[in-house]
Amino acid sequence: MNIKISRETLLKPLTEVNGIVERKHTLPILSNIMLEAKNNTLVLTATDLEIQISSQIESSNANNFSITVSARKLLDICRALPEGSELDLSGTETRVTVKTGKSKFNLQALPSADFPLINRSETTASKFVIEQNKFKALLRQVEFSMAQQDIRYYLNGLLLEIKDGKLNLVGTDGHRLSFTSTTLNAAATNQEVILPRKTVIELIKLLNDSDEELAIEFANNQVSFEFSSIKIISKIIDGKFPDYSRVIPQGHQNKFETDRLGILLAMQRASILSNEKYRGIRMVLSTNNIKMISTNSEQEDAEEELELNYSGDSLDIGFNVTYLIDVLNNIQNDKVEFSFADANSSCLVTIPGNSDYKYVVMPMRI
Amino acid sequence: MNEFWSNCLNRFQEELSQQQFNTWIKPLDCDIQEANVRLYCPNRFVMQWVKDKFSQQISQLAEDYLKQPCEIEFIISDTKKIDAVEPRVNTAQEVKKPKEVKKKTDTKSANSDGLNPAFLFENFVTGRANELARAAALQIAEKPGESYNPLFIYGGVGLGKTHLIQAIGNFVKSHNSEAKIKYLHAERYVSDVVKAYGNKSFDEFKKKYHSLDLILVDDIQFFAKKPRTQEEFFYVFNSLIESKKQIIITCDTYPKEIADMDERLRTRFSWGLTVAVEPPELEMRVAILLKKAEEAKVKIGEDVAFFVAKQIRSNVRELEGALNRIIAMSNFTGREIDINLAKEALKDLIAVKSRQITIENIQKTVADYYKIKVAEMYSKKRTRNFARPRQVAMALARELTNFSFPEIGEAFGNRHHTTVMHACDEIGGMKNTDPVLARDIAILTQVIRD
Amino acid sequence: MKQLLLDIQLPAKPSLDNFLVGSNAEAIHTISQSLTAQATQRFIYLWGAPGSGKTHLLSATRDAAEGLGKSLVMADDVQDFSEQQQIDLFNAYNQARENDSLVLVAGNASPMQMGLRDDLASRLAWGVTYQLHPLSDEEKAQALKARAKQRGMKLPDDVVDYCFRYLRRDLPSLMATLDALDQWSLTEKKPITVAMLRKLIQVPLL
Repeated sequence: MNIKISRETLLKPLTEVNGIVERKHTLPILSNIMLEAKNNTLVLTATDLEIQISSQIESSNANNFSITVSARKLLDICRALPEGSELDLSGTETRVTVKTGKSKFNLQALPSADFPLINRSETTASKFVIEQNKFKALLRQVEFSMAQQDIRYYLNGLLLEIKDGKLNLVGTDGHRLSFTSTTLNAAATNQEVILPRKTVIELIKLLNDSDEELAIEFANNQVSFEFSSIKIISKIIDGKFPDYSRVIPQGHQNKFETDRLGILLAMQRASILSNEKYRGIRMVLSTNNIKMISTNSEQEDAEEELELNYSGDSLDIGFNVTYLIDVLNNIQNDKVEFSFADANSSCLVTIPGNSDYKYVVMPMRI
Repeated sequence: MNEFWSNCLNRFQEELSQQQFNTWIKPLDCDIQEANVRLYCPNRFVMQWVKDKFSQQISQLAEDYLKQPCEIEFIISDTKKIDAVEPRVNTAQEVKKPKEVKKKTDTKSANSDGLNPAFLFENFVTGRANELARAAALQIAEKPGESYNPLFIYGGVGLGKTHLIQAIGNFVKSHNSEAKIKYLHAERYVSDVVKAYGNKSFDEFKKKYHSLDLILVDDIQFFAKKPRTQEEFFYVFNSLIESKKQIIITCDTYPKEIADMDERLRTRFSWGLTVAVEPPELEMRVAILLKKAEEAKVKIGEDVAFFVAKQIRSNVRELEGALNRIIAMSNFTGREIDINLAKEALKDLIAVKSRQITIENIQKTVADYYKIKVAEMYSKKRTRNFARPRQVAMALARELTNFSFPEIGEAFGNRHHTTVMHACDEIGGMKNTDPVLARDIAILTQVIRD
Repeated sequence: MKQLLLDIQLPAKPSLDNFLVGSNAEAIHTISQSLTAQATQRFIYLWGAPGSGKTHLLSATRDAAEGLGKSLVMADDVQDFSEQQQIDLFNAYNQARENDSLVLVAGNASPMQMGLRDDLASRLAWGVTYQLHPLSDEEKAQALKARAKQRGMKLPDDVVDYCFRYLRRDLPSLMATLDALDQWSLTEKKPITVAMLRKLIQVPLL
């Protein structure tokens, strides 16, 4: 092989695919990335067997080859080299040399034939196109509710559902649930998959804020995403996602609308003296008034009071404040609405005038 | 066929029920050589039965015929077996006919007369236990309202009372399509009365019941403690009797014994003819099983029928249930129906509920077996005489109950659960090497389980 | 303060498919058959010790029958029936015989041995009778794992072993333990481990 490439040109795709590379893996080749030059393009691919990311760049001076080398080491080398360096990559099946100026690195290589590529499924069950920034914003609205390493596989991901011309995204950890929805530009076949947590995180990292196209395609047990110069193939979580419509409350009568930022800051202050582990705060609602009260195990306490427009029942209800701060941080709107039934039922957080977003959070029993 | 045997057959046909005759006598064949009468039987069961029940009569007839004392020799004949099947095929056809009728009328099965066309005299299995009832029923069916009124049939459950009175209904219906017939269970009548009270629709109620030509009320004991129902029925009863309409009633006991029933009704119930149906005797139970198997188009051997009939004595429904299960098991497993299969299938029907096994029970049984005091089960003594039985009891407690190691430990004088685990391991290992212990445990398991 | 949970756990409803058959294959077959057009038996009586699966099969059959729009007469724990309940069941049974409905009844002993009214008992014995045999420990472990899987849960083998060692091993107790573990781990957002189970069984189960 032989290829000449600038440090910056290589660094971008290298960084993009590196996010999913496992440092330590029983399969050594999985710490490698595959470099594949073909028809004046260079494609970098990484995989952890669940998700595979490829990033493509133009490279007019490469002969056809493909090889795998340590992702981490190649990235560290590129990062450490001075800006503007022109790299000269050459090598065989077992060795890759990186040369630039007075620097020279000999890296161990593994044959690309052994690299466990996830093949793109040939059949397509459903596909649609959406603006990158729009999809990214949707992911952000729900992503924080996903569980982390829960023993229930289906919670460690997001539900991606195409239903009657709408795209619905749902995440839940059993304590709270976020739901967001958008109308698709063109009709697509109904579909329901659970996207692994890692794929969601990578997508948020890699999607840019432009309205360029993102093509999403569903097949048997995988979903593929194509945008900019990146292709992602992700396996999906095998399992059934809970029936979310059952837990989204309807007709909660006790509600108030308030400034998002005002209540967020008050909560953040109150949370300082909440129990570090359980993060509980009490919300005490009375006519046109809300108090947020926290206490901790050191007998310290905080009280925040807000004036607002409230004419519902008096209510004393506990919450894990993190769950409320999360939602207030992740919705992009000046106003926010809270609605309640009683101290043992869920609280619904919505954006006034927007029925596409719903956040449901269960209280803590005081 | 020789003259003697055809005489015999005629005699038996007169004396025995159709069913008995078909089951026991018809399959036989006979030849006579001088004073020696040979009876060929299709199998040893029929042979045994005929020997026990009929040999005296046959030898009497033979002596009368031959005019000298004679010997009867019983022979199991394979060739005759095939013939023996024939009459059964014939009866099968008899049974099939009403079945087809049933299919045609099935759409009308919810019809207002409440009759189930499958219940006919032709497929009613008769024996000593129900002969009289059947004869009375048939007589009344032929001349409803003219002989005995009411006909009161009583007996335990599952003895065919419903079949019999339904057969009357169907018979009358087939001979007189104009006849207004109503079969109903007493409970239905009760709810009709309640409805009539509720809707104040007594005219309609009266019209419905007082205009009948034949009323068949099943399980009249259900009228007990229902004075309104009894009163209404009293009127119906009187009105029908007066106009010579036939009333037929079944009950679980005879009129005088019905609890919580108006005296006037009790008296009236015995105005006509009161007949009992008794539980079927063994031969009839066998006959019933064979008949039901035939209806289900399944072949069961007489040995199997005997086996089942001996196990299940109480009533016909249970007998049918047993047969159902045998057929289901044979279908499921693809095995032939034989005694072994029948034994297995019947287990579920006649097995006694297994007792809830407790640790106390195990401790007591094991202590008794090893002739030590129960107290040694909880004591701290570690001598072998006590320690081994204690270990055996612990292992059995683990094996035969769902209690956990800690719970078992607690039951054995608050021992640590690891002690119990150790005991189980040790006994488990020794069972394989020590035949005496293995036998002890087998016996103990048996005793505890029973 | 204790976190309350959203009602998102996957339902693990008893069905005929998720019943661990053990040595009850014929009974399950007959029940499944009874729901089809080829039904040969429509009157089924089940009996067995507590935990042998009677209630599971009854509610599974009810759901299946509902799904198929079949009418079904069903009674559980018939041994405890009062005089009036027995009469009601008797009437329902007779009605069912007339309308070709299905009848499924369960009790703790074979029909004639529960001291029920003769007319009812003999009818229960009329169809097919099955004794349900409890599962072996291995089968119970399988059933437990299957239930966990149905709920989308990871249940480590050592936790299962621990259950069989230290807890009651009848199926209802084991399933109750699983439910409690499920609830606990979702509330605490922690995996199910032996250490956690050990902690959990020191206090009464939820």
